[in-house]
Amino acid sequence: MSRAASRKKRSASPLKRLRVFLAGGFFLSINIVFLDIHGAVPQWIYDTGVYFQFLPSLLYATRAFGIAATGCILVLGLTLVFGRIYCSSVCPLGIFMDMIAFLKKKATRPIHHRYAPPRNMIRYGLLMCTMLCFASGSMLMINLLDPFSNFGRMAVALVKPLVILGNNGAAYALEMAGNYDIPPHPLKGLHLGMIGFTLGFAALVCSLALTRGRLYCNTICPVGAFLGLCAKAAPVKILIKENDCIGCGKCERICKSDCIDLKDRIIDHSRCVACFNCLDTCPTGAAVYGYSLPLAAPIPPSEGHPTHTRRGFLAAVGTALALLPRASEGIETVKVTIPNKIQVPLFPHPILPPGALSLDHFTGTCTGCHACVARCPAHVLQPGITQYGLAGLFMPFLDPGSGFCNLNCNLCGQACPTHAITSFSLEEKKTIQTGVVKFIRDNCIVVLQKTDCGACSEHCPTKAVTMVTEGKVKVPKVNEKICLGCGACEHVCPAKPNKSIYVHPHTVHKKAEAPPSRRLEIEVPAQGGDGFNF
Amino acid sequence: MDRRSFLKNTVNLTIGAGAVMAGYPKTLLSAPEYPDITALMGGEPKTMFDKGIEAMGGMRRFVKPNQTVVIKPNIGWDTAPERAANTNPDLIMQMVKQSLDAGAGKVYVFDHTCDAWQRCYERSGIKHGVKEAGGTMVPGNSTRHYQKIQVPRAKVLKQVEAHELFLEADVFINVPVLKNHSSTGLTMGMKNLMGVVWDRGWWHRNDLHQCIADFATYRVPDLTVIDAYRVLKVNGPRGVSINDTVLMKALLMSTDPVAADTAAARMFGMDPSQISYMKKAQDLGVGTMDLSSLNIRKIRI
Repeated sequence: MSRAASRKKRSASPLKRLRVFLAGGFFLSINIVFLDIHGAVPQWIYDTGVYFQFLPSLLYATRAFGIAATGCILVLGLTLVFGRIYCSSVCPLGIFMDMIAFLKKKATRPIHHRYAPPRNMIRYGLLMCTMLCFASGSMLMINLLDPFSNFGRMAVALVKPLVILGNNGAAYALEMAGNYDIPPHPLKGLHLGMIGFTLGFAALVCSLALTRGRLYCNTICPVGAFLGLCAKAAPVKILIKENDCIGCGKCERICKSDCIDLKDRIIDHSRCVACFNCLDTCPTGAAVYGYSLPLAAPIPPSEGHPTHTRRGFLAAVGTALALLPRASEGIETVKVTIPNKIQVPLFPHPILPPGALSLDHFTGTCTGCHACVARCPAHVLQPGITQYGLAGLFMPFLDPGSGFCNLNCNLCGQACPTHAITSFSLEEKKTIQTGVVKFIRDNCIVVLQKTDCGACSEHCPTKAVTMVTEGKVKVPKVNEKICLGCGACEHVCPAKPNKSIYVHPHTVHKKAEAPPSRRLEIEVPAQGGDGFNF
Repeated sequence: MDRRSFLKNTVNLTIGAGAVMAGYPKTLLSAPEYPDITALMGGEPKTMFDKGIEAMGGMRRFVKPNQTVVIKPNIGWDTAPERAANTNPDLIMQMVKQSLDAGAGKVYVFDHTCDAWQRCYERSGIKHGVKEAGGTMVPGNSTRHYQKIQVPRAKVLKQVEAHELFLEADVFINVPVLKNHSSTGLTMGMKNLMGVVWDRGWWHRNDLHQCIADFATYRVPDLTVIDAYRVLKVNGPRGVSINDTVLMKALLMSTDPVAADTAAARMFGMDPSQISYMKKAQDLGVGTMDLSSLNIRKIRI
């Protein structure tokens, strides 16, 4: 009893404090990436949080050189030496699960853990399946299982709407007092499919965290499985000093990875996430985090071959199939003088974000984390579900129904952690042609009703759409060469029920020609008279 | 529409209609004679506004102590001031300052922008200018600020959702920038009022020119100030580059929105009769296109 009392008084070890501090910092930073609706936080905070994310950085490295590509190498190096510190301190999903378990501990009582053998067939099977899938050019498994992207999707689909509601509530309250300092934010991008999937995923993760600690990280997560392999031989790790251990079993009971087998004094370092809880709970100080060269394989090798891959794959396919495209938009009452008839054609794929380079590049690199969706100030980037097919699960796309791509903006490229959307300078981005505009003359209000409209030409940033006088009205005319495919014309086209102008997406992005320009300054003196002209 | 704005609107309409029918302002017995239009040329925006408003009877003629003033510039685009797609920020800043100096309780500035609104507010320089002068920038892209109203004198646009500040303001000042416009020829005062309504697509779908004229009958701005300091001559209303603009260094102000637009169109070098919403607005009694009947003051700086 006295030992227990003294343990209670003892504060957390410096190592655990460091872990909690780092986890807090990274968790905050990652949340800012997805929830900073006003873009008020400086870029370096986004970049720091994202830099250390293993899979996004690894994917970046497969596509391009750059600082962002070194994050995974750093994580890999740290894991090879210090074990899976990444999983407890950096991974937002891991930290989230720890927080869930912590809340349960505070509300009721801590989870009673005990050693469980590793489920190697499942975890390495899923890892292999993910790698094979990626090698064959499909991001499906990564997009289903990557912890960072799953966390991002949860944040964007489930938490962001709450943040927006809170923001708008506060804005409304201030407005009552004539203060408009809090800008309201539109509640766009609510997709039932995304909400459904992320809710399901959140339920899975929370239930696992509440009952089995880090079972997700050690059974399903491909990053956990891969880093586990790297951590197996890490020289710095949790050790149990034989001579000091009294065999009380406290460390085994507190281990969220179920990886301490006290009976045989074995720790499965491939599953240990270096949370350091065992160090604090050990009454004799027998559990230490220290340096030791591996003498023998600590875990008996798993028998059999990973045969569960197909099942995992089929399950993934099933999940994806269950998620049908998002619900249609709400019905609005509109007055249409003469309804048009021609339907806008369907395309094999939606408009790729500027910087996506090509369909192959984009769908081979994007993990669907929705960091770009969260950053897009024009709300034109929307979370996709199966818009790119199953291999492109959750990948975002340019949706002219929601908005149009702002000419002076390249934030999606800056937000993308994997290089799926290449970051271009503003000047370069302004020449990217994501598609070209097509005009359906027989759908156009001007042609049908003989009344002026021209909304498309008004919004066009390059004047790829101009108005040409035909009788008493002006009819749109398009110049595909200088079109950027931003979708402004399609977004604002008021024709009903079909648009009369639309963007035909490019499979491989092109470079738009510069719009013709002629200096007009010399025309001023031509005004004549007193200059006022009236 | 709430009762307050309904009453205000009715009063405004009565005064407006009465004034138009009686051939104002000559019949407003004791009122001093102010010019119907003041046009200025050759100065910087701030100087031109100061001289112009002085000629019009001073800001105190329009703004009474503790009144709420709403200034409506064109902030439609995410472009810098030298592109002339948005109203000149220095002009707006000076107007906010003058309004406060005249005793205004609150000065609000907003526009229902086309590009992402926060970026438009920033890049146009208007947000900075308004803050500096002590005014308040108000979001114009949030549906809940818009209220459904009936437009009794409209031919087509019988009802519309308009921004509550436009409906409730004691003083409403319209400050468009004069520029070329791909669908209506020119955009000036009356066209700029499209920025206080929610669903512009409806207008485009149902005879744009008639809708512009219809909405102009709802509430005649207390003052229309047309910024022609830098003018977008082609590729409007957004413009593609600075090459599309010319430096005209001019400013116009009038209490008659149709007359203001007519004079501005002439200044631009365009025949006002070519712009069909002007004639339609005149037919609805919003104002006059006949400049020869008006008292015009021209000031060269």
